Amino acid sequence: MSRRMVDRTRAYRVQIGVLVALWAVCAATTPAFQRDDGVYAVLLGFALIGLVALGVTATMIAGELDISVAAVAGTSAAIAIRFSSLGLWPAVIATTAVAAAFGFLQGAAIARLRINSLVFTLGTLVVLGGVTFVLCGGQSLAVSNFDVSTALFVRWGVFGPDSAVALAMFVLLGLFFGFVKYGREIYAIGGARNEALAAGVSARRPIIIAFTISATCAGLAGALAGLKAGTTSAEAFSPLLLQAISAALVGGISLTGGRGSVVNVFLGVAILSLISAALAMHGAADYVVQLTTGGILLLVVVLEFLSGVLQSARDPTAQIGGPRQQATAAEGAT
Amino acid sequence: MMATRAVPRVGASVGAWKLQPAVAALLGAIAVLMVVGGLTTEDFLTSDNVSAIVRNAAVVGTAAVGMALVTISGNYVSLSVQQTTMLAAIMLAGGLRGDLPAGAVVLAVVVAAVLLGGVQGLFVAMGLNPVVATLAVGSIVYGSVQAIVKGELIAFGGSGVNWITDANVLFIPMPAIIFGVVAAVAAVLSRRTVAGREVTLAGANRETAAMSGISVGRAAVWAFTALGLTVAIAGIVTAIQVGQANASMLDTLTIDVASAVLVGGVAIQGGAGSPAQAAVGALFIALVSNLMVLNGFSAGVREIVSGALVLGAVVAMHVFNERGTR
Repeated sequence: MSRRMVDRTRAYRVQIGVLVALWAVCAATTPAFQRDDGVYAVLLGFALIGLVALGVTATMIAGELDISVAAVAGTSAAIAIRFSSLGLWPAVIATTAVAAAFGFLQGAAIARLRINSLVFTLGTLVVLGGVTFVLCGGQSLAVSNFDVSTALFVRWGVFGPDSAVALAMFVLLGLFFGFVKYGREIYAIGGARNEALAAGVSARRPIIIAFTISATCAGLAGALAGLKAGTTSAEAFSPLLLQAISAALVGGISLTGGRGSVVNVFLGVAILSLISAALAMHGAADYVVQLTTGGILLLVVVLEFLSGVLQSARDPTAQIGGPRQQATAAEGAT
Repeated sequence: MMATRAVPRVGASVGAWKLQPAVAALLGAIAVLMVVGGLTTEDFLTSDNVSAIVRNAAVVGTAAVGMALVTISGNYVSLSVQQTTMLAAIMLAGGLRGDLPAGAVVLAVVVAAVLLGGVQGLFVAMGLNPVVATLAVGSIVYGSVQAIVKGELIAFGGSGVNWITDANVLFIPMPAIIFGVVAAVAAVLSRRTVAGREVTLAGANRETAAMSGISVGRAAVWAFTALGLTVAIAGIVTAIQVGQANASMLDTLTIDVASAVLVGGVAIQGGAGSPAQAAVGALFIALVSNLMVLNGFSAGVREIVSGALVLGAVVAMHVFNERGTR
């Protein structure tokens, strides 16, 4: 392995270690994980938590935080069900387009006002919750024709239509963040905003793109999940915010911005999805999933913090991810 | 406790009492709403309805007072408010159902919530991101409580504590009095004690505060501990008010509390504002939502309006501050 490969892998060592250990435990205790059923179940988690986590990551890399993603997914599920007479994919595409337009407007408002995105999206979160409520008419909303739902339950090997779409999105955005100028700008604005601006990066474009991506991913996830379930209600998507942000953070995306890649999100989602799939197979209740999610989140954050302390103790010049950086994390999103 | 240590006075923003424009605007809006509501909506200015409004504002407002201190200390918001309040309510309900002495139960709830708040403050003081740390602690608390109570609804009979919510003093319901006292005490302590000023100064500028000998970490512990205390009070009041508790109660509390802080005009970047603003914010939201209920607005529309209030408040505050610094 080249030196660069080693460095790359080292960046993911905590997450890969946790994932391998968890998979070993699951394989030993759950028969489904000795077959491809386990992989299928874990990948299904990518369709909902994965896509939303992927979207919120775009804003985290930009040094912002979009906490409206779960609400966008909830509203999108309701919109998709209203559109379901168009057929499965037209409904998904139309809903995603609506979500993308919302994300663009939200990003434009945040970029133009230079307002703290955490508080702005807290406001839109509440508004969207109300919109979902109105769309659902105060009760649960169901598709008129359940054929659109059954079409999403097809299984191709370890993939379903929804997890295949989600993974395609991961690849697409991975390439965008890694190799496209507009994607690189999101890192620049998140990692060192003043330097990026001085170097000529637009102050607004990366923010608008990041928020458009986050709403698009959340909209796609909500549309797929809503149509698959065939029904939705106003509160159906509320636990999603914890899961999506946890997945991104567990994967090693930093809230300070400028760091992390799609691989981090992938690992984070895989870890959380593995836990919930394994617990579901054992018939555990939802609260066990939440308890474990919270525990793993705390564990990973503390581990990263300690490894940052150790790293800077060994090498005084290694600042990135060190305790100093972590201490100022709260000031990241301004 | 640290009152003997000198703290540099940094001018009017920390030491002096001053009616902030945001608070003045909000109080004005409340007055206008009262008048317009009274003229247009039957049953609005009846004593029953006004007492319902302050009761509704009391639980959210009490917790919002503590949350404001966290925001002022530069630590944004805690995402574990709902879960810790629920824990307090469950503990109280469980203790009272088990016929333990009410005083001891209340004390135990307060101690537990304060410790839990302090622990979150310590995490933040260590350097963990406050939003993430509280998100994690919140889900651990919820999971642990649910693992113990298993979705059970814990109901308890009247056991000598009902006066905490049912009594009226001079026609003012007790929860509103508790809320007012909490807000007033927090407002005074945050201005007049060393710890309170350290919270504000740490939020205003970390580097400067640290160089002036103020521990940013200690300020975080103070703020989160205070939040733990207010959340304990909110949980106790809620549980006694409804006579029962379960793990999924108060599911919108975290957002409601954060909304109250923001509508109250507490700047999200910290370093400015008073806990009393969050109290006024909570009162304003309760007033608007009560008016909408009386006028037959649906739940969805009410939610859209309260979201719009939050958006309007943060945008207005932001634009106002930008102008001020130019």
